[in-house]
Amino acid sequence: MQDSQALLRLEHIGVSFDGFQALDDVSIDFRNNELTCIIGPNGAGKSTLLDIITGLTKPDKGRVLFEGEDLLQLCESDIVNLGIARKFQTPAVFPDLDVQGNIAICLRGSRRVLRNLRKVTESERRDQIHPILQRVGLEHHAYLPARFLSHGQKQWLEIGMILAMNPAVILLDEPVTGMTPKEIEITAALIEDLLQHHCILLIDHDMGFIRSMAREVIVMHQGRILTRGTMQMIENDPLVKQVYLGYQHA
Amino acid sequence: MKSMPHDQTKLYGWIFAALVLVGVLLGLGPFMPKGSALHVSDFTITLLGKYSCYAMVALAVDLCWGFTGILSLGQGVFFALGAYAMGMHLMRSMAGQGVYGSVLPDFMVFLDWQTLPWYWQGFDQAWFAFIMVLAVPGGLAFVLGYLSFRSRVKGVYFSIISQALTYLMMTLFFQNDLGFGGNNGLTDFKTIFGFSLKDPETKLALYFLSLAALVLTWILLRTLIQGRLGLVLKAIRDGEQRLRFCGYPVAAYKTFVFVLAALICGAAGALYVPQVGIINPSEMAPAQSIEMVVWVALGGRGTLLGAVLGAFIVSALKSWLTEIFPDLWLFFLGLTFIAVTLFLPKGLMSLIPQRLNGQGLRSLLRRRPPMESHHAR
Repeated sequence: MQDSQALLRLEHIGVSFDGFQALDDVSIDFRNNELTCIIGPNGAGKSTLLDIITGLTKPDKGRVLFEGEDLLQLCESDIVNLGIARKFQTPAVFPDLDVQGNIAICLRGSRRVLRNLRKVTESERRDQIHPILQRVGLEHHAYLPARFLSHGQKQWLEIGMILAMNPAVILLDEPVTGMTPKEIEITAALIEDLLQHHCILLIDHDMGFIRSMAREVIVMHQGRILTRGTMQMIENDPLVKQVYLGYQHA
Repeated sequence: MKSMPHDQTKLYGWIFAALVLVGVLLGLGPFMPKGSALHVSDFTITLLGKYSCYAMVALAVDLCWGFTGILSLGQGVFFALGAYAMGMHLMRSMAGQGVYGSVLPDFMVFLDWQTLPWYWQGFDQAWFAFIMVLAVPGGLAFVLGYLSFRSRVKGVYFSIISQALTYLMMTLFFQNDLGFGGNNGLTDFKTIFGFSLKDPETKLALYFLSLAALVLTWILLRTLIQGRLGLVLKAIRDGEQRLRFCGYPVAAYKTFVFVLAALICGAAGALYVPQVGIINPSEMAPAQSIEMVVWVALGGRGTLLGAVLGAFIVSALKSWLTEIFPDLWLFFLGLTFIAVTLFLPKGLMSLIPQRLNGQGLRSLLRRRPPMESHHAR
């Protein structure tokens, strides 16, 4: 499964917490303009995988390579600045900043203190922030503090923040949890749109949503990759039915 | 919906400008004939100068706590260090005019010291003292901030460390052997840059200097807060871990803010000392630093204006109450703090009506729809 064109590569990742093997020998390649979906029941190790890519957790075994560079030596903010951004499971916007402030803070540019003593320029507002707000449908709420947004709007704002960072790799952790069917539809379209320029890793256990999105699906169970393939293959796999679908209907 | 900037910074700016105008007018008070209603005594002028220094400290506390969420309970140590550096210059510049007529400060003669300690060298030069006023508090804040924030010490743990630091420094400065005058501190200053500290003109000049420093601090912090830095700081307050995932080196920002606050406190301390005429280790007492936090809590966090109002109101109450009921002050301070926390969590600033916001005021002054103009395109 390994190939040389991988943008982001996980090699034999293993990690355990207090003797609990959260991940065991997980290897995945991610290529540009590709959507990879990972599903699996709670505790399968999906979020731990994202924690490892983003530097929040350091694995016991294995390597994480981004364009050939070893990410395990870097801290969270350095990894982000290389071009790997994460959307968290619960909407993680800055509640006291207004909507456009949330975007402004994420725009590409130096993160050093002395480079950030300037103002947000009018051209930044017009040419960068406003188009992003339009894309995520929040242009009429630009000056509303983010805490007043609805749950779905917060999720979109967070996608907008990721757009502002314009990363090579986007990690989406359950982006449609708690959304209405209408909101899910809009979000799915947004993600399709993102795929034109980004490599996306999507984690979810909403089968319906995955079915609408997925090209290739990886099923995880108890820290291991159980199987991988198209959604149709996955859904007809008796093993998957047993550990995952069965769990859903339980 | 028609969206609007949610903050009231324009309005706060106007209120601050009005307060400064009042301050300038009060500064003209000593020129009015004695006995007239407009006359302001030298004593009041010095008191107002002292409050202006406190207001600078309050702005620094607001920058750290109100905007960035760093609750330092040891801001007094930076204030006192700036004050000591200035005090050392005042002591050195009156060499030979002391009680004992020695080139050494009186307390050193009293302790039977023969020569000036090495760390007192250079303080006879005003420029050197000015550098030290900033460098010593700034350096200490850098070391404490860098080590704490790099290790991701935050919240109440950082508060405790900062409180311990000021307590430690107070204990240290109480030692006579340290060479800073022990529990008496530095006092009996005669002149500043050749001007007698007893002259009303000198007192007035120091008051206007303090007021100018307060205005400069306000402008500096307001400019920074309205820029990208303001966004980053509020984001640190909201969720610093989330901000790391936006690529920001959070520790560097926190260290920057903490050092900047210490520099402001140091400068305030330097302006404070010639007006009050004494600096001793009690300025580093934990209660002093907590009082600084109370100023901001009472006035209202994260507004700058609240900090300034809080410093003036609490200090004025203190001057008044300690005169009539000297024993009750600390009880009163504690009760005020509890009452504000319970009933006015956003401080006195929450009493300013929200509808009278900066946007409304600006559109009254200039009849055009602001901020949103590019959305119309």
